[in-house]
Amino acid sequence: MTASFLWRRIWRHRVFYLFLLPGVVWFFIFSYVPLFGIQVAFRDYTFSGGFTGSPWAGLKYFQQFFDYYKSEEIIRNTIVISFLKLAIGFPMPILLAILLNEVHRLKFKKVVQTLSYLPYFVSWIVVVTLMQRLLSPYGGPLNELLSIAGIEPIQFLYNPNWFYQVIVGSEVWKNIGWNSIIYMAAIAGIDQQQYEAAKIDGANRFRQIWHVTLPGVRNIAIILFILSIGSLMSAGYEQLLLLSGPPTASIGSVLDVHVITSGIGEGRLSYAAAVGLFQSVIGLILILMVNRIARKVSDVSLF
Amino acid sequence: MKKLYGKGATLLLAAALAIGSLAGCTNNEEPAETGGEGGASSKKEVTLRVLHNWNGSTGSEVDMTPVEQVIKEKTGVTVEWEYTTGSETEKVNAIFATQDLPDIYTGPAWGGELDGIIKAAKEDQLIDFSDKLDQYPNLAKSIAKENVPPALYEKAIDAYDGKKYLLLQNQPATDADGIDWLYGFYVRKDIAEQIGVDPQSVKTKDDFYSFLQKIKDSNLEANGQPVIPLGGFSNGWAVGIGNTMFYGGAGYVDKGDGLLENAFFSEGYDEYTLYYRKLLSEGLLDAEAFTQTDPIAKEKISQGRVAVLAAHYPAILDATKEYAKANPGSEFVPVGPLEWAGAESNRPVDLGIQGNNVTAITKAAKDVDAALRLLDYLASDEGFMLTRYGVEGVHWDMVDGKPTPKKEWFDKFANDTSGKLIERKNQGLEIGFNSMSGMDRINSVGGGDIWQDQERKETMDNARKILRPNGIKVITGYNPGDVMIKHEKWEMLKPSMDKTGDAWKEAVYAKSDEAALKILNELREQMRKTGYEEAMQYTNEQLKDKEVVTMQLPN
Repeated sequence: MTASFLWRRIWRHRVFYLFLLPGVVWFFIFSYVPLFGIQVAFRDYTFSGGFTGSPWAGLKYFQQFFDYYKSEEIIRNTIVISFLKLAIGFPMPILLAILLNEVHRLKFKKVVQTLSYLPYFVSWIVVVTLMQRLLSPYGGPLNELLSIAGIEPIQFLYNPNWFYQVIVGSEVWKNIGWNSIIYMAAIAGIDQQQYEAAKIDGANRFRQIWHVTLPGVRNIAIILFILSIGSLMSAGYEQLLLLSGPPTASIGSVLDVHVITSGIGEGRLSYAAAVGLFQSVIGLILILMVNRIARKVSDVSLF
Repeated sequence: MKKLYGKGATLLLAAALAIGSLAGCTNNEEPAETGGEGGASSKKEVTLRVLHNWNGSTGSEVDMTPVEQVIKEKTGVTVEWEYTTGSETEKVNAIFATQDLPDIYTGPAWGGELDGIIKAAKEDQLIDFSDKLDQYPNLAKSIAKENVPPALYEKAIDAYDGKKYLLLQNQPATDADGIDWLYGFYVRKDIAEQIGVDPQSVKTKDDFYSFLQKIKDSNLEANGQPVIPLGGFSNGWAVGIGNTMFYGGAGYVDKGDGLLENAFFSEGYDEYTLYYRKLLSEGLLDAEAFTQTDPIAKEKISQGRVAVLAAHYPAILDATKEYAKANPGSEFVPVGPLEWAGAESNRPVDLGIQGNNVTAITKAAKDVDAALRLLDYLASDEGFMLTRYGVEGVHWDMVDGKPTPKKEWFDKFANDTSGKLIERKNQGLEIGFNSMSGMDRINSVGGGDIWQDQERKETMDNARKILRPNGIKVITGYNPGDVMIKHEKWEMLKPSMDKTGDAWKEAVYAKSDEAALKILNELREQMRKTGYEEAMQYTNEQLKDKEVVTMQLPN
């Protein structure tokens, strides 16, 4: 395809490309321009030198991170929390989308959909404040209910015994509705004749889900799974910053929070950039690996 | 015709927008000569943005307070405040990293905040005013060598090859001006009576443990909730002050052979950690003490749900004012004085009173002379009194050579029980000027805190008598921490040294004593790996035969 032909094609479909433009601009500004700052990880960043004038430091800050006595623990925690979120949080929106698809009362379906979307728009600080109130061992409503049942108050937050449940539970609660939208759209795109054919063949509703609905969302699920794998080294800084504290430090310290605390909290900007870059490179490698596996196993892949 | 109108309207709109944009581009803060009378006529009017980097500080609800009006008349400067909500260290790092700089920075003279501003000075982010100090005598006086503690002088004021970037504030001008905040443990008086324990009979760590145990065993309730035996304010402030029962309280201890070591390595530190772990695991210390936010902490306190509070007394009195008013007899009174490890029974309390605030003019300042004029005026005696007492003739009068509050304002301020000092702030007090008003001269130049009501003054005096039976001694010695930062390995060591507080908290929540000690030991090992031994040896050599701080109570 020659360049002039390509431009002619783009011009012919310019309206569609115009729709694309805001997304491209967004990615360029927020994802590509900041790549320029990666060099800070290899420099001794100074306020006066900035990105380009600070002296080179080689791999000094990467070395510092791997020498840090908690680096292994932090990497392990990040992977464990991300894996739990993926293992439990990934299938949940699919389940919700399938369940909603089976609801035939339109009004009820809309209400449930709206209610499930709402938490997505609430910031983590509000969610955590709500949780602190609801789960407080000192008169929190949940503990009040438990006390009626004769159960002693439980310290849910900042408690190693409840940490993973709280982290994964709040993540699922906050994102399940929003993440189910794309699956709802995929289900809506399934040809209704397939369901009718399945019914004629004697399939009950579970069989229809198994043989029609699930294959209908398979491709989109694989794509989203590949993308999620890229975030395996990122456990979510806002949530962990707010929901992990001294009591849960040994299982709750993650890379994202370490980057923020060492960079902004301690002013070690080059070190933070190095840790952040390490996190991103591992994420990229994981995406490439999973993409290749997915292509071989299912013929579905990102690229 | 319609088209013509449409085109005309479009052109008009475009012209209006263009003019508006051009007007928006002009600097409306351009210095301009004032037309006022008196001394201000030669002063340019300018608005300066001041970052008051103290977490939780707030301003007034009005555009221009009477105090700000006087400052504008005297200096031509209108201050546009910016306050910090969140970590002060993060703020100072963020403004220089993003270059979102105010004209004037003012903030804490300790910890990461001070390190951040010193780093900024060394990297040419601040204005060097050394050649202008002769024009601003009040500023020169506030950072003269004899008026700044030696270690702080070397570390922050005279650390830039003769250049001067930082001003220090609130260090006492005379011994009479030193403020003792009366840090300690305070108990609700009615609760102490209810369990039959005289708070002054609680002396040792074992007494204190039994005292908290008795409170817990009495199953008291407040506001329908169980009373928490020991608590504090947000993020654990200042629950950990019981450390002085286990070691001298300063960051460094004498090992016994004349050599110093970081207190984190001492045996006392282990005992201190395990003691707090015991308090927490037995439900004597608030399980949320180190994780709670300010609103949640204050809610517990204001509802009377905490029996013993650890903090400085003014904070406790402010936070419990409403509850104590509604429940007579429930005011907080001092516990102890508790034992102080390594101190003779007749030892005066060693307090660090060395100025709490540093101020700098950033390289983004639009008018350096105006900034210096403002700061010099605030540091003058007149400016000091203005920021502490308000406007003379409006809020107070000089009676027999002594500042005396006007009754109207005294009553208004005293009746403001909100704890937010809104009445004072709307007059221009407590909004940040007091942080920048030079050396503390509250007693030597002023007449003490004239806004303090008699009842509160008596309460504070009473607590002082109990907690400071041998008086106080202002620390003048060297802090080894200020010397250690000059060692070549400091850059490597600092990240591990910064983790001691986090490790202590984590250890307090550990599942067992062994697990707690393991957490401390792991960090000790990391500190050794990153150069602690060498840096400590260097510090010991540098401080040989010098007076060093190893005994210190919080202030």
